[in-house]
Amino acid sequence: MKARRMQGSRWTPGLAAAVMATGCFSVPPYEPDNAVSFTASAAGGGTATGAGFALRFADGPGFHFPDKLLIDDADVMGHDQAQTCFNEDEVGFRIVPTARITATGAAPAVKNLLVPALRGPAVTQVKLDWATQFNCDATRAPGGTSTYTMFPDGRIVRFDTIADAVSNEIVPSKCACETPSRSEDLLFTISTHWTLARTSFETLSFDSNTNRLPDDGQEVAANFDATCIARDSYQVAVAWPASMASPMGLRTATRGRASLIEFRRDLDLGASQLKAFSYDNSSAIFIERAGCDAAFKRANEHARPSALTINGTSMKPSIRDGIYGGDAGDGLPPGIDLPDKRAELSGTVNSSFAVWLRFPGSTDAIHATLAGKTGAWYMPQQVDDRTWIVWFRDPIGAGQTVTVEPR
Amino acid sequence: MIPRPLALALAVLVALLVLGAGPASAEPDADARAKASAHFKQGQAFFNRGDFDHALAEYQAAFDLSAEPLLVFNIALCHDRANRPEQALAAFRRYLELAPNGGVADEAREDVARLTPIVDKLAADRTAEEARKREAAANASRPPPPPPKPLAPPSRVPLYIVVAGAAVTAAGATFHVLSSRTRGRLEDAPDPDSYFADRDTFKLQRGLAIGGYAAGAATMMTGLILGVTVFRQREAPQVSAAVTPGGAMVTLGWAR
Repeated sequence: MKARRMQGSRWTPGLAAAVMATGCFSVPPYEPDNAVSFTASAAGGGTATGAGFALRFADGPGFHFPDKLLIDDADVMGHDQAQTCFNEDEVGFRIVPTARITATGAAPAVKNLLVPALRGPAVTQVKLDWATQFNCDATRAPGGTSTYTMFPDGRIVRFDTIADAVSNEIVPSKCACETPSRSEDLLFTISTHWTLARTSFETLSFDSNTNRLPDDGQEVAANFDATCIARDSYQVAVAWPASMASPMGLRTATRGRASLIEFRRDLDLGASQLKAFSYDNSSAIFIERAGCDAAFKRANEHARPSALTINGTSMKPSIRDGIYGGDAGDGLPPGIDLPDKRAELSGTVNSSFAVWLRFPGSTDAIHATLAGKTGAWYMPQQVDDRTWIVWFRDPIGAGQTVTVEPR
Repeated sequence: MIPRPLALALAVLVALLVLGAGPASAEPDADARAKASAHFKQGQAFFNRGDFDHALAEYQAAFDLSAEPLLVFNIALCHDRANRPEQALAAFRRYLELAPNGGVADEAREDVARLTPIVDKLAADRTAEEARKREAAANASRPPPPPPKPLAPPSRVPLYIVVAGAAVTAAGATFHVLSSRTRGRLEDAPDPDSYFADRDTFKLQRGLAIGGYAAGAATMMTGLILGVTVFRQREAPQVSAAVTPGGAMVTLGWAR
């Protein structure tokens, strides 16, 4: 081994020179200043970074759910691990009254794999496959996949699946991580949530008014599709697709806690016993600098997305990744087929948007045109030799047509 | 057995005494015989002392006075002892001519048989030596060989090849520099259109740089290899070039 090490050190300068030469001749990727990227860490987590924001996925043995949301390098995510073990904290799930499923929650991680699927510059996407196990019944191991899709303008689309196919009935009293103080917490509730730090924000908007932050224990904005929590320098809107609301039994809510504000959507089972279940949910947050009106405009595009006509076919964005032509959840690869090597996009979309296109043959470079637009108004990202994602920075209005074709 | 010189001495002495007793008209006179006997005895004395040349002279003097063939035999013995085989052989043969049935004729024949191959070899050696001397004399009379041709100057073909390779490498380095600048623009591309345009340029420059490096290195290596192998010999290929209004010509010559 010693000889091998010595030999290795002898070749190190040559290897370094070769690597430098290779790097010098490699084609650098297109990485504009506002590009998004993902950097994996050795401990299983990673960080998705965009201009002025970053979402960190936790390292270590706990779930690799997000444990930090950085805006201008300040963590605005909610952290309150001292509260009740099944209450919201950070980002994750609850199966009340069992331990919350988050990066620092007490639920054991029996499956916990974070995989980057897209690495930018226009779209970064990571998928977390996870599973936990109830301490009251080892055969019950709910799990799922949480997909986080991030765009350059601070849009983070999250899609969750959570299911447990085992039908062994369990009861809250035996499965509670601590004795609930509220009677409603003695009924099983499945919930997905975001939390933001109380000290990082000043106001909350969900109707036409600007409200102060809700007090500890105060629940507001029930069943609103979008809310906006703000301070002067930045705002964060949270959106829940209206298409997934009632009558599916889903309910959105915003509630104040001592140190955080929680944004959640519940599947109120209202059951004293938990059988097999399956629960999908989509949500998104929007980091904004121009005020809550601008944030709402973007959030509403997630809650009630506009239709975009692509080569004559009207379609809405994927509820899973927020991309037109994105993952439809049908097991087929994403992408809109373009038999004519050309995509014409028209319609009205009130925020930035992205399309996922598949050309008929290998396409090394693409070009987008829109009357009156020059510069960095669009951002291409090659997925494979035929497939491209194109993110458009600006809304598109009536009468405008964007053309995307090979360069 | 009586020793050979003693037997001869006795035989000659007896012969001289007998001769002295013969008729004077047909034989040497007494004075001559006495002188011959004295020369004979003196020759015997020299012979016994190993002074063969003086002995031979005394025997010859005795023979001139007496014409006794045995003295010729003694003369042959003197030549033989003095290591003059040719003269000894001639004397032995003379004795046999004079006295083919003489008292020591058989012994003389044995000596002739012994000395003949020796003399023949000496003659052959002498002939060969004379032939060698004649050859040497003939060689000495020949004109000197011409001086070696001056060597051609070392071939510059490898140098030209190495220089050409260096030029190609330099061209590759130039494109490398250009591609590095283009790469810098790629990294800071403000929009996708300028990125893709610069990317195409970068790929072209990169290809030319890599091609230049590879071709230049291969050419220089070829020149170096030729320089230490084929072109290391003085008599190596020579290249000449000429440009005329009608065209250009490159000639590769190989002097053998």
